[in-house]
Amino acid sequence: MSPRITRWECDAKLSDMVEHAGILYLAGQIPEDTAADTRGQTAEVLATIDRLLAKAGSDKSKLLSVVIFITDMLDKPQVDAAWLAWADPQAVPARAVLEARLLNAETRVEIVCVGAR
Amino acid sequence: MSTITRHESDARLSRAVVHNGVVYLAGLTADKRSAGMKEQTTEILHKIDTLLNTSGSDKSKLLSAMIYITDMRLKPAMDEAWLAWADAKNLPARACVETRLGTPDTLVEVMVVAAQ
Repeated sequence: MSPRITRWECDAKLSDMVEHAGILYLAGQIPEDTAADTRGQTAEVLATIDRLLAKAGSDKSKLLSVVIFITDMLDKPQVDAAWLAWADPQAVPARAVLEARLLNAETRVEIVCVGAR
Repeated sequence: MSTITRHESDARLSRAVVHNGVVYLAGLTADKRSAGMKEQTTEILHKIDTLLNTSGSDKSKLLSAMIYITDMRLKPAMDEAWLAWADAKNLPARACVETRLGTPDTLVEVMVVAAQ
C-alpha cells in the first residue's frame, strides 16, 4: 500500500501543506501585510512557514529545499537579511532566489519549500 | 536502492520520472498555443491526467503544483480551468508566479509532483 497523503489548510484551490512519505510540500506562501518592506514581508512569510511546519511536527531545521521568488532582484539583500535572522545556521536548506512577478504589485516575495517531517 | 523509471523521454528530458513512489512531471505547456489561457491550462491539465495515469497515479494524489503564467492578469482564467479540473477533496500545495516562458504565445506552464 502506498503511503497516506495528509493535507492541511485546504481552500477551494489548494492545500497549504501536503505530507507524503515523510516529506512536506508547502504551497507558495505570501505575506498578508503587504505594506511592509521586503524584509518585513519575508520575515512574515518565514513565520508562516514555521507555523505550517509545526502543524506536522516539523521545523525549519528539517527544510530540504526552498525557492524564493521576489519581484525585484535589488531587494535580495533584504530577503537575505530576514533569511539570515531566521534560518538555522546548522541546517540550511538548498535554496534558490529568482525574480518573478507575483499576485499583485504590493506582494514582493513568495516562498515555496519542501521539508522533511 | 529504489529504481528510477522514466516515461516519454526525448533527447532533452523525460515527461515523467518515478522514484520511491513519487512521480515528477516535466514542465508542461499547451500544443494549441493559439488558444487563450483557460484553454491552454485545460489542455495541460489533461496532459497531466495522461502522464499520471501512465505513471500509476492520478490527480487525487497530487502533492505539489508549480504554475508559471506570462501575465498575472490572466490568473483568473487559469484558476477557472484549475477549479473545473482539480479534485476538491485532494488539492496539492500550489504556487503561481509570473515569468517568461518558452515561446511568446505560451501563456502557462505547469509542473507537478504526485504520489503513486
